Amino acid sequence: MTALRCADVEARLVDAIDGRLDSADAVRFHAHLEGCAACRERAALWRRLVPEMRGAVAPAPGAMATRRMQIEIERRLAAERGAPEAVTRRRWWVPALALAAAAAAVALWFRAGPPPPVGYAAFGAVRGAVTVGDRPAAPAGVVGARVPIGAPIALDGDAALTLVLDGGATLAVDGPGRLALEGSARAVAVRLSAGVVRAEVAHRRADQTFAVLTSDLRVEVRGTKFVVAATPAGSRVDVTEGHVAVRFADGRQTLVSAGAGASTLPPEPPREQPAPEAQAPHPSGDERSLARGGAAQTGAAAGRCVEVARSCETTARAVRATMRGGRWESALRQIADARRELRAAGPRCEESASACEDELGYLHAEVLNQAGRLDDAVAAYRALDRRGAPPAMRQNALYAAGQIERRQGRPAAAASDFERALAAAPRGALREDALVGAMESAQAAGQTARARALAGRYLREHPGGLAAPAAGRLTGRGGP
Amino acid sequence: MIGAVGRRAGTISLRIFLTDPPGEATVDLVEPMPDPSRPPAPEVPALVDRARRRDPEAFRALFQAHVAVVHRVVRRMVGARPDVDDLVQTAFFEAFRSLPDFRGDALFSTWLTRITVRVTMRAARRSRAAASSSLDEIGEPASTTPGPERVVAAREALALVESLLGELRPKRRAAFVLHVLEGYSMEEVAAMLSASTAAVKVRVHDARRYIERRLRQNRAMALTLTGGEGGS
Repeated sequence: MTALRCADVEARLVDAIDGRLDSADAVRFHAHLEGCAACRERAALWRRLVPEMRGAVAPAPGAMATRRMQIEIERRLAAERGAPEAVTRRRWWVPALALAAAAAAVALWFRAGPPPPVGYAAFGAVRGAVTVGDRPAAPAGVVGARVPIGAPIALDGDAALTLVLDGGATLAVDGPGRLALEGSARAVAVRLSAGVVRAEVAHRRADQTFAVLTSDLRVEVRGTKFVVAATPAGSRVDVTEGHVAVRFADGRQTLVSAGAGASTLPPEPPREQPAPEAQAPHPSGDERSLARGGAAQTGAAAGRCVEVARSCETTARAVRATMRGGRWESALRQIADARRELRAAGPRCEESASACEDELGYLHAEVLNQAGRLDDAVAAYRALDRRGAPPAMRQNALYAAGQIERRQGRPAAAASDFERALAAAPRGALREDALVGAMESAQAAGQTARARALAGRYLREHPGGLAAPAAGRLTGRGGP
Repeated sequence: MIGAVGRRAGTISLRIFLTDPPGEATVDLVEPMPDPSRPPAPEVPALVDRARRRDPEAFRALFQAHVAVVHRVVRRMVGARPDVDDLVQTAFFEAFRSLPDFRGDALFSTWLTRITVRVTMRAARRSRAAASSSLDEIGEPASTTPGPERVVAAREALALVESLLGELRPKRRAAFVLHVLEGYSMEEVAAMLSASTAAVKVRVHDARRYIERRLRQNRAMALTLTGGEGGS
């Protein structure tokens, strides 16, 4: 039997500690230790060190963090498969063929049983008669299941369902209705053929899109709440929070802010004596967002405002395309140019200019964030709050600022941003995430009383939420 | 994943009797880390097959089953950096997109760890600013042992270990983490790091010597990391 040298013993130390030496090696190992004081001392040290060092493990990510990671991984996987770009670039009002093909594919899938495509949403609550593809979906069986991309979903008159999208959006659909999810987690496209969809969309990054498409409208949003109705006579969108971009079939575009709407339904009989100029340029158009500024804004002024809105949306799309290419400096130049033009047009069209400035300000912050200029990005996000951008946008911006501050190791500043995000839109789409962010950051900053108060609030408002166990521990109410 | 308490509480004393002479040597076995040579849980290969066919549920199940291990390896490789979660995400993303290349020669967990190490080494190269762990940054430790003193002690140990690992050169650190802390054999570590076994042995040896030297210099650190018995 060959004796081991000191170097051999040292190389086998961990295997010995883990019990992985075979019997012959173990005997040689211990025989060497018997005769070598230095190795014996070293072995004794590492026998104590190894378990201590292995035991020093950082806490595994919590439920919220795990969920965020999982969503992000799925988003990146879906994005890499390249589906989204095709959806956003194709002519949006002629998807019938694609829809039919998708429906056929889904029907085939249901019959033949190959694995479904990676979807980006799951069925939440389901009530009444609902069919997915060509199969009736029993509520008990479908809840929690992934929604096949492109599969037509039909609801009877008394039916209703909720779809929960990865990335923090929910769609509530009341029957009768018919819709399908297309695109991907990065470029969500909800095709609504009939019925009413109430959407609550969490913050979307600048290179992500979320759109609801009817036969004659495309409604594109970032983080907001809105309702879209599709009927044989036309479509209508009403915005509850934030603002959305609406594109009509004839190419017109407009930004619609909270409290306003847009429609292609035939105009209702006039309630008052409308000025002839106040009629929308398109006979079926109703751009209340433009008229909201007051009766004085009429005729040519309204036309200029439509132009401002169109120009803004065009710029925003161009900036997003530049961002997708990672050309941050170009994107910043585009935004600066657009702001200069806006200042020239702004005095004549205050409201549209203000909405556009908000949008450009948000894009500016997003570009800085993605370019790694994090302190500048935080300042830009906070500027949106100071300038009084719409509540949902302020919430998105402050939430993003909080995330950056947290990643930068400044939990106290992060907690303040998260709390301001919560205050900006207490019932906004990011309210739960902002509350958790504030709670975790306050705890990380050592602000125990503040963290406990936030945890108490979380438990009151989201007793069944993902962060409830952590909040329970903070408040001393138990939890795993 | 085996928790801190399990490992500490799981120390077994094994006496190995040599031949007739009275000399006997003992070696304490600690509850081992998941043994890479052990057969995998039966469901993992099936999940991997389903994930190859892009079954989203399989992706999720694999993620849930391995996220704690990947997170642990990332923390040991880079410390308490703010982008730990991003690195975990990237490791899983790169693994899932590379599943068609996974031939099954190694366990899925070994293959995933190899990708994780590659991702963290790349990040470490990009940002040489090593994580300087301080007690304030560490957060609550994984220990579930009741009692504030135990919690504080575990927290202190975590800070010290991450601080010590942060002082090692990246290649030494990787070899030390994988062999000594994660329990992979020298040969497996060599395959993971695309290095020779001899090179890995040298790196682990150098890392050990460095840590021993630091413990000699810092008595308080030695007492904390050796369970109060002090270093050599």
